[in-house]
Amino acid sequence: LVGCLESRVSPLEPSSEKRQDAAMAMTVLIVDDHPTFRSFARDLLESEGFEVIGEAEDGASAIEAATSVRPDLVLLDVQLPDISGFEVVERLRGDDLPSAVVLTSSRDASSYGDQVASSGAIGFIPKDELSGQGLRALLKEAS
Amino acid sequence: MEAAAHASATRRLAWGAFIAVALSYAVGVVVEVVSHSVDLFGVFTFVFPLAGMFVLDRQPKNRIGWILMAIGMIAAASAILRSYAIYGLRLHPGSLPGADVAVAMLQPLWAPLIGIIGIHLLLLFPEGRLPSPRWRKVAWLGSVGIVGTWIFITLLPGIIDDPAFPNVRNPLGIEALRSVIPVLFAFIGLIPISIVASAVSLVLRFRRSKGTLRLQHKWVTAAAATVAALYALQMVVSVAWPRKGAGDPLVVAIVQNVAVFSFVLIPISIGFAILRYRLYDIDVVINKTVVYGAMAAFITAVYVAIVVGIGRTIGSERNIGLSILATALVAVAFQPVRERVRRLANRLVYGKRATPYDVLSEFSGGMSHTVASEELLPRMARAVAEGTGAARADVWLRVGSELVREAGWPEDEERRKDAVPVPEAAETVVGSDRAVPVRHQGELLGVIGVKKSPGETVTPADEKLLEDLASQAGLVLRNVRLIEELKTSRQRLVTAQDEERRRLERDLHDGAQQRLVAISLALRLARGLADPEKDGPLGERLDQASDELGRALNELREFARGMHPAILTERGLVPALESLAERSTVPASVEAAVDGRLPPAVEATAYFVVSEALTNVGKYSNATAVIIRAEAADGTLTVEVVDDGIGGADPSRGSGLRGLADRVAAVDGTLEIESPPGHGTRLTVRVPARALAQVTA
Repeated sequence: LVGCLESRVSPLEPSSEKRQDAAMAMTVLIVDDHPTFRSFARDLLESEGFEVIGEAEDGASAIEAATSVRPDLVLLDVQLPDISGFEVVERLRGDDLPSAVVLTSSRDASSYGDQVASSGAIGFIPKDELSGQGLRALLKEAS
Repeated sequence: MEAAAHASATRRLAWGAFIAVALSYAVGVVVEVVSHSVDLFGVFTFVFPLAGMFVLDRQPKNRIGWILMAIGMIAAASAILRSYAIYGLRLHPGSLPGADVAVAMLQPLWAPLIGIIGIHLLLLFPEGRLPSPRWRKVAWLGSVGIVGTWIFITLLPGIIDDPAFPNVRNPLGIEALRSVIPVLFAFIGLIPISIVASAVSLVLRFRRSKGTLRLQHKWVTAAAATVAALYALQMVVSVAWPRKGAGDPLVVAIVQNVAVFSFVLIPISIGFAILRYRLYDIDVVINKTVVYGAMAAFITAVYVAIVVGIGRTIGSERNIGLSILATALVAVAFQPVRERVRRLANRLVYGKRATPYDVLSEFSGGMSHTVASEELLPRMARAVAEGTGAARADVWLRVGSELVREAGWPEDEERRKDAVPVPEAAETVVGSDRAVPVRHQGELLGVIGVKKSPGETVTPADEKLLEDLASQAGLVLRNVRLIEELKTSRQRLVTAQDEERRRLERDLHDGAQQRLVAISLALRLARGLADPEKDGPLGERLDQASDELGRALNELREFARGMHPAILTERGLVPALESLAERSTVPASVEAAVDGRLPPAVEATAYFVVSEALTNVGKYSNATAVIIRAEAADGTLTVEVVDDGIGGADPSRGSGLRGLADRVAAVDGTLEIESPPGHGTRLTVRVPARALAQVTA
């Protein structure tokens, strides 16, 4: 089923108009070790006017990418193969990067207790509820 | 080298002295035979120099040897002088020159004889050294008394006071001394004073002594007690069968002689004690001495009381009826009296220590009665410690390739569960003076080890007790090990189950959940692509599919959490309890005092119990609030769930708590539910966190 959907979804390219909007749009770095999720998330966010300027599959490359491309927003999976998302946030905050971070996971926020609140992230969004609208709401709340 | 040369020189000197003493005795005996005045008592004193020679031959430096030798020399000199005097004054008067001088010299010899035995021997026993320098005063005082008395009496003017040699004027007497007689009394007075002081030193030394030293003392004490008992018996017998006419009755004569000559036991015991020959059997020797001595005294006393006492009042001492009565009485009372005396003797010898027999029988009793298996090993350790008088005793259980300390006496929680690799020889377990292996059908099951106080040694009696216990302990250790194995295997099961659940949760998260999340995003992407005008029904279907998928994901999340919550794995018990409280249907708060992480099996047990308890609170209690308390202290995790509901919960009915109770038991914990109707419910779980850390590690 997933493979079937992937083949149906992946050929979809954002329309040229939306690309122009994206020039003004918020830049996003997607960090997740599942390529399928990254690609769907990219499509979804781009369809809602975000510009995905990078992807990373683990904590170390996430920090590297964030430092070089300086996105407005980092969509960060909690469960990464090397270090945890919380640690990535901590390092980004330590490096004084201005990027806002939104944590995401296929588990819900309560699975991480008070860690989400006490991390430097501006919020948490469950993976299956990911949407540009949701991200904007969190950004607005944070600013 | 110098010391060795010195020692061999001393040894040669000792042999020389001994030969001289032996020759003196020989001469003395010859003279006594010639003068028809053989004194057997004097002959028997030869045991003193003999014991002295044995001591000096093995311990040339031990002054006790020389003291014993000196006693022999004085006794030998006494024998020679005595027989010379008898020959020269009584048998062939005038035939020998200076027979009166011999009498004069013989007279004061009691002073050094009694003095050296009563003062120097006691002061220096057993190592040949004074207990401490301050006792030197006593030694000197005694010596002054002995020498002063000796010289004074030798030179005392006038008729010599000796019933054996009447009317002999002291040829050595100095008239001037007559005016200073009180000085003699002063000298004589010093002797008993010093003897009492020396006896005190011996008592003090005995009380401070330990191990071998104590055994040495016991030997001499046993000898002295035997001599005293025989003398007492002799007195009783003399009263019972009073001398009639010419001589003593045969019985009296025998007892008297045995008593008189029993004094040789003293030098013999001193020799045994110093040379440590069979020193360790002393407990048994004393024990038997006390028992048989007391029994002999008892029989004699009954005879005397009935045959002599009643016999005299009825005027017939040769009454056969009375003898039969006495015999019957002795026969009836013998066994109970013997049992009492035996117990008394045991107390005297072993003190608070139980006798080896008692230890064994108590232990076997414990085995056959319903003593819980976890109590058996501590009891065994205690029995061993008390039976051997050891400072500590440990029972080690073999677990795989290790020995694990299962029990110890005195109890020591810190050292419980210590583990050491099984040594090559089980006899060499660390921290033990002696250890015996416990086997069952040839298989090493454990080791019993004892550690004595500093200065004490493991006696052959201790060794025997240990071996006897070890031979009985096989079955016990096997049972304990089976139980231990069962416990460990239950704990392993719980740990494995937790591990499996954790793995399933992770697999769900990494697999199915991720794929469903991807589908969910794909559906929303598709929904975005659907044209509201043309694809109306498609959009609707996509929305329905998204909703359904959202519910499925939620259920899957709940399922995964129930399997094994990630927060418990990653953050530990307190955050996990807090997240439980957050989701609780009844408002819940967490009060926790737990530092750091606990063993996973402990955390999981506590978590699942609280989770189940909260479910029950939500379902049945009608509570308005619930408090979750968690505290880890003194190696125990205590978790409480307290609600203000209707109470009356029946822990045995239905709830999933029953299954959890098994789980709690598997990690050696306890689960209690207090639920008085109308007063809420309190559930308490206690799990030993420290002990479990070793199992799960």
